[in-house]
Amino acid sequence: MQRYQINPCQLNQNHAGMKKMNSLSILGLLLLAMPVLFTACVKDDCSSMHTYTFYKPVYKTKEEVRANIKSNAPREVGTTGKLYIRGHYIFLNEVDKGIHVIDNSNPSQPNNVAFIDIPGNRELAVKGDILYADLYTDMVAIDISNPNNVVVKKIIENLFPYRYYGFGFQPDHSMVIADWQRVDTTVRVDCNSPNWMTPQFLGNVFFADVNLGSAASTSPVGMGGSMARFSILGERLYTVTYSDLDVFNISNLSNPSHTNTINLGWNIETIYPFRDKLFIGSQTGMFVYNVNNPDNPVLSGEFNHVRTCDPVIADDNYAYVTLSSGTPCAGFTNELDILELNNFANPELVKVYNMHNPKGLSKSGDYLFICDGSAGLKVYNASDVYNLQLVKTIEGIDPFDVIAYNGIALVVASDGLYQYDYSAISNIRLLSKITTKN
Amino acid sequence: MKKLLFWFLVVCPAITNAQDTTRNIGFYTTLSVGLAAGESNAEPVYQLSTGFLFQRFYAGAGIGIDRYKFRTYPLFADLRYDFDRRKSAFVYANIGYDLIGKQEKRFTFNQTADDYIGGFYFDAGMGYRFAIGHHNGIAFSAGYSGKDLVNEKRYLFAWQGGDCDEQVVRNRYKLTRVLMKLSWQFNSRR
Repeated sequence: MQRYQINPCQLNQNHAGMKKMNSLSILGLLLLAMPVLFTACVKDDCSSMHTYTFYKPVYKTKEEVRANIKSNAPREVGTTGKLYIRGHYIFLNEVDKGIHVIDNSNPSQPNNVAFIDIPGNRELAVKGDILYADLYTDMVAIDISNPNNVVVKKIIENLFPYRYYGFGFQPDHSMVIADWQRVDTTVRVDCNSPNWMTPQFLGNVFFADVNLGSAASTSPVGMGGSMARFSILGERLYTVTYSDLDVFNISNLSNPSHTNTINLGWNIETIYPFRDKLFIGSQTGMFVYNVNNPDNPVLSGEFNHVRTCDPVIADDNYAYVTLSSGTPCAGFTNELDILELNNFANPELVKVYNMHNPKGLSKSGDYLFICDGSAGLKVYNASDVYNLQLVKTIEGIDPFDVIAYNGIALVVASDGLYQYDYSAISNIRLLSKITTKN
Repeated sequence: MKKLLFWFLVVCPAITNAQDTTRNIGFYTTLSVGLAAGESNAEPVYQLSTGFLFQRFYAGAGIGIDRYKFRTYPLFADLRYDFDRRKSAFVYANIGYDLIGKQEKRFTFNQTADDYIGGFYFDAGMGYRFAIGHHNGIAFSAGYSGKDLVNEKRYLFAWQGGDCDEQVVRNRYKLTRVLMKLSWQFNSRR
């Protein structure tokens, strides 16, 4: 019988080996078990915070609004809109708020003298002592003979279309939106909820309207910019909405009466009067209306182009049309088109100049002023339309409308109202600037 | 990022070879491939770290490519404790910050931004290292890992004129998963 002798050392070695094997097994098991152990803990967690900055309407009754259409204390200029000059006064629209009355007796030191509260206002025109302005769907005629004490003469209701705010927002039409209150709010929502258009569900969203735009005219009335939607020619006030031309008889200035509505099609943007013609800019072309019968303008010619924004002005022989791309006009064209007007029935395109992003324009004598977006204000010698000579580029501003008249160019830009002296064309100089509060 | 990778891939191993130290002190370089398995899917993970071993404690720094749900590049401190000096089990913890890699951005018509912001990264677990010769080793490890990041989208509701509404959507992701890795380790110990 074989006897086994146990060597204590061997026993220790075996014991150590066993221990190591056990440790390894436990570790291996642990490693294998880890994915299972942690399966319950793995999670793709997502929390979503939606922060909204939106604008909530502040309503007033019609009576409250109308009682406040007066010369209120001047205030800082906010978002600049259309512009009208009459005598030594500048009437500067602040979008949807009203009209700043600026005494421009000294263009180097314009003096903001009053503010006329007209909620929803974007358009204006002046003849004699009467200023015509829109108040959302209404038109108001205001006696401005004393700018420090303006008086409402007449309000014509429901002339213009309701504003379109989009995304389902419906204002209370029995009231007037007098202001917009900025609201910042943050809510926690599910990550899978829609990422946009959510404010509508809060019931407070607003978007600015796309229907109405502002002012224009000829002497002896005031002078408006090329972006105007109100225009005075003779004893008529012509206004364009997105689709219609409205005619008002203003032979009695303080008692305008609506005489006609003419459908123009779609995407109408601007109106510019010259001689016995109305030049109407749309996103797809320029229309020339003959006003031999002032209450019934008749289409006498048109010029079609690609879809863009297109303010238009004219002189004795040519029409100048700027085409610009970008919201809301779409398109990819940025150019100045010059049309010969020998035959109004068929304006002929004679020259095209590439531009950066042209908007409003104005002509004074041989000089053509073009607001070319972020490229600044450009001044051309246009004595030869086939060969415009750039005289000056005023950079560092983002202008959108200009009125050049009597040696002073008033330029509405995103950051304020500029005035330049161009009486010496080789030395155009800044006279003053009214800075907006934004 | 490329410079960082170059530093880890080329310079560190060179230093590792150049700096030889005593038996239990030296540089380690670890190259890992792994799989991050979470709630929604499993995606590959790659890591490279280098550091210094002192006795049983190891401290280093690493960088990785993490493709779980969002492509990120974790930069992390790499800490480890070996239970044994030669072939051993170990526990480890990686703590750091997730850098954001190139993401597919989807813009809707009124969207103005689609930005990603990195966040906290961690990976902790245990493993076992099998020595191959004096300088090499293969390690298996499994751990619990998480990465945070924020996706910020901005929408502008701008129509003609007037003020614009803005909406900012901040989606904060906390993604946790099991991370299994196979690593090759190289050290300069003698």
